[in-house]
Amino acid sequence: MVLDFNTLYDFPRNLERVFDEFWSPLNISQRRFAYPPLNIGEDDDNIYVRAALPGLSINDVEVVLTEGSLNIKGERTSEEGRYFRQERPTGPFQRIVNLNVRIDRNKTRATMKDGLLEIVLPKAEETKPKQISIDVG
Amino acid sequence: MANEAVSKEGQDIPSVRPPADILEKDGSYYIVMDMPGVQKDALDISVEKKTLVVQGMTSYPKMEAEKILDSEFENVRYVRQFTLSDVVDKDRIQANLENGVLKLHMPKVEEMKPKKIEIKAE
Repeated sequence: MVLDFNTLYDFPRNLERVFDEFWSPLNISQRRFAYPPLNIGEDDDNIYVRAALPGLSINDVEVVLTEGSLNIKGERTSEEGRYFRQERPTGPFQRIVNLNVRIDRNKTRATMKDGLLEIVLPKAEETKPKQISIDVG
Repeated sequence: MANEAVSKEGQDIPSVRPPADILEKDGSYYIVMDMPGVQKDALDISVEKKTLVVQGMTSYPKMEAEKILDSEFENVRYVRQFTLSDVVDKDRIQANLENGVLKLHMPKVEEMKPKKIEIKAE
């Protein structure tokens, strides 16, 4: 062995991780096994879906919006070489986000920066809450 | 949420060990690390003696006006260190950060490359 990277033995840290994950609320759902990890938020106008996808550019990711769901697809590849250690995940991935509001399909946009994919889904006008003025006559 | 109290101060950002690949290609070694959300100026790489330390802070934008529906990742501090062998030329290590992936190119020391020794017989 030519290289000594000194990290093969990492038992204490792994044990710690098992405990951490046990207490994590994500453990209840199986979500922590899903890839890529997502952050989803919303405000009055939009739904925001963010995914951590290091190493991919916007052209490597396929984002499909269907009636009621958002589909994020792609593949992570590894480069050729003689590996001493391989921890980064590789292979195809897909994640589907169910949407319970109508989306204005013409105004969606997706950007990618520093390995963070951000998709903005504007809510359709008819789903937004509207103030109705009542005239008392 | 307990999370909110922590993130308000921004001090208790969790430390995470980023996943790394170590490989040999074309006579050089490479360390490749997933560090999504890290910008160039938030990355710190140092070599002291035989230890290579990589640190990086993510800068995901805070969306305070949003209602969080699902949160599976957050701002973290990536920290990882490696012990370099003498084969690596520490003065010629190059780093490249692209799309949230850090790639360290570590050439071998010239003398370490195999050399044929000629034997002269008198």
